[in-house]
Amino acid sequence: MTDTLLKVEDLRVSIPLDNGTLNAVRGISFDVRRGETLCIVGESGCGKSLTSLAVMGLLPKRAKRTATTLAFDGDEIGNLPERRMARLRGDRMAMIFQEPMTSLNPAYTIGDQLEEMFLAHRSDGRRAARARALDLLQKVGITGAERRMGQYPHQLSGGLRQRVMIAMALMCGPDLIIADEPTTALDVTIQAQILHLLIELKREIGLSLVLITHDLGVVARVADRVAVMYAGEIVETGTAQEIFANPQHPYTRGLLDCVPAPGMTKPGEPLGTIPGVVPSLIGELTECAFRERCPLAHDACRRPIPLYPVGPGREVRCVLADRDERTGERRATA
Amino acid sequence: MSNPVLELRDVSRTFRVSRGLMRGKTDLKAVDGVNLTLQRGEALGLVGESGCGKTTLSRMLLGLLAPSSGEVLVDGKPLDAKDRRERARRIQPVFQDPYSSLNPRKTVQQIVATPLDVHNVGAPGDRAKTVLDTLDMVGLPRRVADSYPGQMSGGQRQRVAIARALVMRPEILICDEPTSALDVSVQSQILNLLLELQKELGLTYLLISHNLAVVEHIANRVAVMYLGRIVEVSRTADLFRDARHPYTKALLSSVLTPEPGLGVPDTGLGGAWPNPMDPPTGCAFHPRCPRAMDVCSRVRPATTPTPAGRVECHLETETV
Repeated sequence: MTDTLLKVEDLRVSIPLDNGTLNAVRGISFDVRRGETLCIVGESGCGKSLTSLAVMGLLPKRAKRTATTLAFDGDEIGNLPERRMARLRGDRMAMIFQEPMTSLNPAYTIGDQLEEMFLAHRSDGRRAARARALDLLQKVGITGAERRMGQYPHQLSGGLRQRVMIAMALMCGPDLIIADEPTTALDVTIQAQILHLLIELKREIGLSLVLITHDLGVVARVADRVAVMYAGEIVETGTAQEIFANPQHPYTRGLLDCVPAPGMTKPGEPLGTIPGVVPSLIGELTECAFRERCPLAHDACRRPIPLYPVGPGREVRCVLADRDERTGERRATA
Repeated sequence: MSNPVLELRDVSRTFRVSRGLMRGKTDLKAVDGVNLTLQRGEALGLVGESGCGKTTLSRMLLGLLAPSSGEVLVDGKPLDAKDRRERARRIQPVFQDPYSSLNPRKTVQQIVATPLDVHNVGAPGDRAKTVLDTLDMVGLPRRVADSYPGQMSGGQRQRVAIARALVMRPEILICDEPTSALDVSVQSQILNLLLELQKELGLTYLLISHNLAVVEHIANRVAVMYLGRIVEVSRTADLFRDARHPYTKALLSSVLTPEPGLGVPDTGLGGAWPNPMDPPTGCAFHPRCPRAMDVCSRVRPATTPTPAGRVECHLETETV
């Protein structure tokens, strides 16, 4: 038993296309400690969802995954055969998807689907599965659990379906849950409830959570640590406090300036913007991926930029990060 | 309140819906006795959870749906079905998803020119120029006129949708979740554009959104909708400082501002979204209300004026 539950080093996902190779995830490394919440934040196309699918071994067939390390609880899982991976998935690591309507099977009852999850991994029999399902439905705040077990997904509201998804992810008592935009499709009130629930459960059970989201409000309120992704790379990591109080990468700063926030931005005043568009992810990057859109771009960024460590657990992919104001020299030595 | 450009008077809309196989039909009151005015040049935000009737309301304003009862007035005059063209000239929609609201087989030029063609505005030769002027207005380069939506980014597509709405030079834009499908960096560009256009053209907005941060940023006034009724209307600043209705308070408390360390609040709302086919008696919010009293389940609360607007809640009459 180690303190680090998930360790990912130099993870790459590439998809061969007619006009070249789409490098969607370009060598990212992170780890998740026991009981910790890591938020991976970024805009569409930055590779955050493919990262989560890559870790779970659920990538589409034509996508190619490589990684120097992909270790779960100290064991390398990068080269496990599909059968062994399937045994792990849903048991010790589980996933919650964005749209619960498409990830639940419309032809089976809630109870059947919850029980199936348990029966696939345990040999305790259907009665135990049913008891566990009832218990968890109550735990995620569903009233009348007994009746809900016999219902079909379409009979439930979006918020209830997402609660069922969470209950399903918890069926086998996983150590790690990866949640990909779990509340994006929901109303703000339901979003607050679901996130509140996830945090409570996490504390109670002590599981680790990887939360993939584009919503900086969610990140700020839920994350212990944050990884900001841009164009398939991690551009900044740090604690939630560090990222929001002292963003170092121009992209992170740009993102934070874009968000209207009651009490923090002035109504009616122009919001910050990030001009331009994300670069093509086909082929290799020859310069900083954010250079075209960066207000601080200069000649030194005309080369691929590595992640510079700027503090314990804090890295920034920018040559300007953590400069000494007096000398203009980088403080930390990379 | 001098100059309402658009007014809803006791507007309701009922749908006949099936209760399921062999169980007959029932009435679903999607919008229930709504009174609302839109002043010239203002931006009114309309917020509420999904299923509360926001979209039905906007469809009635656009004339896409007739009210079951009540009146929709434009400049004080009722508009009926015969005036559809007139209405479309003055009120235009911007929809949520620029991926599905634009015809993928038409060029930007064709998409933006469609309202001009339908209303037969200007000579066909002038229309091309109007389209290009409108593209300038929404910050799109003129060269995209020959592009197809599939060749454009989400933000560009939403600009095309806005251009299509503006090409008739309407007075009122009904924006239904105009940025919900967009990334945050693109969202801020579209919000800035909406603010600029309002200043330049004196537009009136109805902004429907579930994102209260967006509403706070754009709207002067906010109407809060719950299960078909407007439960609170207030000036935006007052609403965010001193909301009166418990539902508004719960909505505001679920806004997650990017402030680390605050955690996720417990809204105290419970998950019991009421069945709109069988709405609760009295105040529709009472089953979820943390401050519900005995009277709330029996009597529908009256509309009480407040310094900044109005509210429908028994607490207002009990305590004052």
